[in-house]
Amino acid sequence: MKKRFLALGMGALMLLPALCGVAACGGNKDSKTYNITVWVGEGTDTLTKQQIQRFNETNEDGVTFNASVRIVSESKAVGDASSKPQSCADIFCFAQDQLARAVYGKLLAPLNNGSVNAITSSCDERSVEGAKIGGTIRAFPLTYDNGYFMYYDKRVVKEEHIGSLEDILADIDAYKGEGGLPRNFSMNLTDDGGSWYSASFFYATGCESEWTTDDEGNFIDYSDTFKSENGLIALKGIQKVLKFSKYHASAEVSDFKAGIPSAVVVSGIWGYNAAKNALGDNLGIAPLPSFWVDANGNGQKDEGESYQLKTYLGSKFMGIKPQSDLYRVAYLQKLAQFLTNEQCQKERYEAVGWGPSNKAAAASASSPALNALKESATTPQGQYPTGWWAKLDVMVGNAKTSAGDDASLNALLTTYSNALNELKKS
Amino acid sequence: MSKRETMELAIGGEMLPMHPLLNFKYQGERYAAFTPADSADPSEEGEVALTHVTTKIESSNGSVDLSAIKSNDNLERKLLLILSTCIIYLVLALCISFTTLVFVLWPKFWWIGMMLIIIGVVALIMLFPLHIAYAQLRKQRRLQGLQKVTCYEVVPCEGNDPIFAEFEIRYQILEKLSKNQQLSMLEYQRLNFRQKFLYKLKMFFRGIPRWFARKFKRLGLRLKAFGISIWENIKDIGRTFKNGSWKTRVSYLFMGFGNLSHRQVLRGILFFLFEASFVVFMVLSGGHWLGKFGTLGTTAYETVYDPELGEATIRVDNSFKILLYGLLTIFFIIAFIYTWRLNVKQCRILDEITATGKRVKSSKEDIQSLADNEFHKTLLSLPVLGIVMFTVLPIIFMILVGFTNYDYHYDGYGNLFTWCGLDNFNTLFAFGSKLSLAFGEILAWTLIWAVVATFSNYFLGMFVAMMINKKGIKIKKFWRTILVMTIAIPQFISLLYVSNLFAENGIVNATLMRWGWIKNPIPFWGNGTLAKVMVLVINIWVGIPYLMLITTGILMNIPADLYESAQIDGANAFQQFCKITMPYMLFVTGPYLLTNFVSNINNFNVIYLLTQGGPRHFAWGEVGGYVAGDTTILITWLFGITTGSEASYKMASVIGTLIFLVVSIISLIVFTIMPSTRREEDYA
Repeated sequence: MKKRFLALGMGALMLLPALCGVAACGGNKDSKTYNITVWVGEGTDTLTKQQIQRFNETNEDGVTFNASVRIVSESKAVGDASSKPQSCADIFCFAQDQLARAVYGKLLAPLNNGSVNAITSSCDERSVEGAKIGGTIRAFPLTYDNGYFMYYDKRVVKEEHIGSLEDILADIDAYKGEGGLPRNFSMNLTDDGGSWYSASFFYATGCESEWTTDDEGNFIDYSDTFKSENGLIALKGIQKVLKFSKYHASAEVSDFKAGIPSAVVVSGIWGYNAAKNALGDNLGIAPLPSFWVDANGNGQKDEGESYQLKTYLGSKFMGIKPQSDLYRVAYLQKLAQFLTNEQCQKERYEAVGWGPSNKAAAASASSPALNALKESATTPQGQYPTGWWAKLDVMVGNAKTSAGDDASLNALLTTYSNALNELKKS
Repeated sequence: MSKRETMELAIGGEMLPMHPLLNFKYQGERYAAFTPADSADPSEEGEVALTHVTTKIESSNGSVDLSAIKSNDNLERKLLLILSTCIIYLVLALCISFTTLVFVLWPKFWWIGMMLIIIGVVALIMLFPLHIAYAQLRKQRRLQGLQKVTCYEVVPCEGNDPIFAEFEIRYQILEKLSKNQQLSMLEYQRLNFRQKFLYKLKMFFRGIPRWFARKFKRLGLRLKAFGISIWENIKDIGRTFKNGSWKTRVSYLFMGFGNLSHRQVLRGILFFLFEASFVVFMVLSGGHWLGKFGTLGTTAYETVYDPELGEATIRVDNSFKILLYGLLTIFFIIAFIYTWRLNVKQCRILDEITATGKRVKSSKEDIQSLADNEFHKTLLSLPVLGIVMFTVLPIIFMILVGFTNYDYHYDGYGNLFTWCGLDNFNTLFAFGSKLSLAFGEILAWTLIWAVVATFSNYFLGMFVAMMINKKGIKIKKFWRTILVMTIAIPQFISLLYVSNLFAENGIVNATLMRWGWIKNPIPFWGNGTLAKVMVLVINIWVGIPYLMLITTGILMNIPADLYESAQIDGANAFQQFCKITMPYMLFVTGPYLLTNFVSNINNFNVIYLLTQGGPRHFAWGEVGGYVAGDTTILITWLFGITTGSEASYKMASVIGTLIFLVVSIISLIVFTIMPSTRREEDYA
């Protein structure tokens, strides 16, 4: 209780200047320089430094930032921050699937009204929805391109076959390269992080997994239909790929240049430049294909029913670490607004090809990779407990060695389904 | 005395099983050897007498050289120590597990009982070879006439007839053993290999109850001694207060006062400063940490929200800090209690010295002694402090984390963690769970990996060194340089390179397919068994050069005349290797072998850089968001769990604790029995 009073007292002290009429985000001509650290994704560190420099030059408040910018992968930023919260950057970028974890770990605080208005007025509604936990916006949408599609080698996979998984696999199987060297089909289904890709099979068959969080980022409820007839079909589809003799568990576009090269790599927008360098004009980009499963399982094309694979589509966000100084909070949010505004997102798109979340910037952005993503069948990236990915990962991994009959696959689905309750409790 | 030397001995009176009075005649003089009437083991008295005979003769004077006898007992004592320790653990394990299983008072933790039974069985299996080694040693010593019990007196003796030769004495001793239902040496030698083994096995298990009784008695005595020493300390504190001067009494409250009043300024100031710093620390910080140590914090943060500015967060408690600083505080308190006791003791000594009228040591003399007869304290104080701070404290901290719920959900910052008892151990050992299955298999593979990796490198490295050293091999430097090239490249680079080389879509598979040797890629890293073989083979590749360099020097130092003698005696190359090279190598490189084994148990680099622990073994499920693989060893599992999506530090700590136990137990046992711990003369 004593601490609570102390905290409230400190808060009141911090609010005092604001109550006296000194606006934090406008009109304050007191010059002050904040030392901050910023974590950004690969390839954007130099650009971010330039953008912060521009902010310092144009900011009318007189407040400037002396920023130390470091590259930390968006997929690992929240994990790193959780393990060493004190050393977490003041501003950090992270993938959408990490949002609930960041809120739960008290790595993100609610935004002020100015930031919320700026985000809702300028960003794509889907990315704004993705930024919410318990109905409250917690971070600044940085991109809206976090999905995956298919890079392929036109010499191996015929263009008319790219819509069907069976045709693609048949093309690859039939291909004999120089010296009889075959080609692989690369899709990460069983390696680390494979569940992000394997989920596309479940969404293709109409399965759903929706998790509800409270304001603190706790997962309080879920609705998961993976354990169903549709889930069984999805697992059969996955098995079809896993048991393909030229399947390679990877999402690296560098596979195009491997000893035994891949003809298809399922990856995201971040792999475009490397894929282009590897294949040049032979590079083809297409949305994920559909797959066939009949009543007996391993259906060939035109037997049974076709299911269109669906990629997740989500955002990357820019978050602000909780601060004890309210002014610092306000100015950091102002900087984050700047770094995610139309101009900065355009610059980011031009530099590294990231698809903007800002509506105005997105309207003018067009590239083969972005177009493939726009044409893809998608599922909005939701919030999932971190354990959910691991459970899905284990189920798909076990499907590889499973006999493949309905009973054994259903057993895997049951194990998965039973494990979900533990996640809700946590 | 040489074993083959014949001497005249006379044994008078009833030799066995009575306490002996052994008389003998040597070089025309008659002697008698006594052993104390309260000798610990009357059954060995016959041998005792021989000891003194031997020693007496060797020393060629009227007294017995006891130090020689004792020093020759070193190895035996060490073996006894190991055996006794193992037996104690065994007894504890069996007792606790039986208690747990029979009474089923705590069914949730039934696995503790199971684990202890397994420990017991493993201990028995490990004890058997030790027992055989010990029996061999005893036999050797007996034949040499060297035994361990203390002799008190050797005096000339008259009146008995000198009769027996050495062989007869040996025979009598073995006869004595046969009375205890053991075979005589001749009978034993008649047995075939299987019978010998079974006989040893039988004798081993038959000997266990006697060992139990003896070691329990010793353990009881030690515990009693420990209890008595604590009680004596407490009594001494009380006695000192009652009988001590007023200065001493004041020192109970103000440390160092007694020293200061006796003009030991330096000691007094140091004591006082220590007390003052302790009090200041406890008031300003230690009390706070200690107060929260029981809960590890109650409030993580407080927030203040302003719609225009945002939310400010004020951190209150941090479980991680509380655990760490709380532990530090406890260490400080222990150090304080020890120092306070030292202060009281010194005051008592000062009182005693003053009472006798002697002069107490001055500060100058104190300082001088630190550079002279107390120099060990000067040298060791910093290292000891360093070990406590940087080794002991982190180990205890790590172990304590295993008793909390510290993970991604409760990171101690946004959400505080707290104590959870044995829950994590229970999770790991839950009967039939995937996790316990995974743990068992990973532990087994870790030990297999460590043994094979260590010995394959050791022997192959030695063979390579021997081949290069062999006469007639040309351009030796060239061969050595080629091998050393492996060391020149940083291991993480070469291993990552090799990992990619053998990838399923890597250059090796591509080349083999181009040549038409294989139709489908070989899953070097995709098949569990193949991946295990691969990491072992690649480890040989990176490990041999080190062993080659180490053993080259040692091999060149083995005296050539040993080999020459062996050749003259008709020994072939294999016999020379077994009887000369290997014993010498084991003697010199024993400690290296042990450290290498331990480092292989924790060989993160080779496993992680080559396979990342894969191929992933999905049947084991996941822990902390991490799926272990077929080549995962405990240390890479620990790493995977902490860096997995759920960052389960608590489970990582449990595994770390188990690694610590495995490594320390193996290290202690092996280090104590290895030949290198013997004196060189013993070895020779």
